[in-house]
Amino acid sequence: MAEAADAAETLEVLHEVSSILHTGLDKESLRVLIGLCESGVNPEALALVKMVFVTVGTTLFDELIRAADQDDVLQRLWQLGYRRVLMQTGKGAYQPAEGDRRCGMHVSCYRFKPTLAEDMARADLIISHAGAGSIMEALTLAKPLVVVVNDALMGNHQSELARAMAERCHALAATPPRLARALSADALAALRPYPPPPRADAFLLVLNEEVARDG
Amino acid sequence: MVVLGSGGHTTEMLKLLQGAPTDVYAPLHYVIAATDHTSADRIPHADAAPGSAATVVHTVPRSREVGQGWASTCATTAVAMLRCAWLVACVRPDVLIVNGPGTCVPICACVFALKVVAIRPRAKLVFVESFCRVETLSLTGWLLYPLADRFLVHWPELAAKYPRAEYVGRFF
Repeated sequence: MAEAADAAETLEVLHEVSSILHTGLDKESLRVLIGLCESGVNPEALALVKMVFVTVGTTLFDELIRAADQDDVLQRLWQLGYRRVLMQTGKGAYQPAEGDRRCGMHVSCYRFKPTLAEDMARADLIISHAGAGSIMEALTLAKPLVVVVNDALMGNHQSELARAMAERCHALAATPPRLARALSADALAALRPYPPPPRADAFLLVLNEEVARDG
Repeated sequence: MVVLGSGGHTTEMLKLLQGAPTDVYAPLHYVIAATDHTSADRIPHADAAPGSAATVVHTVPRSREVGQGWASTCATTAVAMLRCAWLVACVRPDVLIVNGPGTCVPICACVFALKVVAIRPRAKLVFVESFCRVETLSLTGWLLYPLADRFLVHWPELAAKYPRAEYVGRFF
């Protein structure tokens, strides 16, 4: 009895430490990790587990989650060295089966969080819907990025940004049915970071011109 | 005067204006839609110095909420137009900066009208197309293309297609 209380207290303290360090781990994940370490797993090996973050943002995009949940995509990710997939599923109806899967991947998901910044920062690969906000966030973090365009939307201008980034080798572009094919080691290796603009105040310069002309 | 939209438009606009010297652009008027509860909290300096007029926030009704019927849309559009006209007449901005939310169209029309009737002949209308637009203009962009004094785009592809559109380098 006292042992269980001790364990709970230890977990409590570790969770506090872990939130101070912004690890983004919830109590359940921590408990599993501690269990693994206690049974002799090297903690450094755990830290090396590569994670894929799949996000639909605030959009309704079941096709992306469904595609990412297919065995061919999970297998491809396993071949590329990833072992964990975390999916942010938003308001979609499709929910992947969580836990360890046949293809060796661990899948977990949630619908919304106030901010996705932590999961973005922890990810080793981001598979995102084609919203400008998510694309920019992933590129600013210099993460390998696969942008999945919702090809079911009519007159979807989002494909423009995805294509522009793909042409410049800052991201891979795909559609849900072509996601597995887009995930190739060569294509991912060819990605180049998106550099910050040469002048952060380029817009303000234009504005200054207009204000000066006015004065 | 700056028109903020919602969500992505607001994010882009605040990024564009990041580091803007508040003393040069004072007073800076922000316009937000009345039902937009998130943009107001994201405006910098909005509550920094109470009593100072460096940053002013105005709200205008939206002409159409998502999912609103067409009959009532006519009525709400008329109300929104009048409120925008009143706001523009009161503030008489020297420079109007917009990046494409639907809310900005009536305000642009009013500022343009002030220019035409020579009340504010030197007022400048600066339009920035959305970062998402690489090859085609948005509906708002298309509407404001002939009216804007500076029509800025994020991608050289757009500037090549539309002669009045300017690509002055990357903003983001």
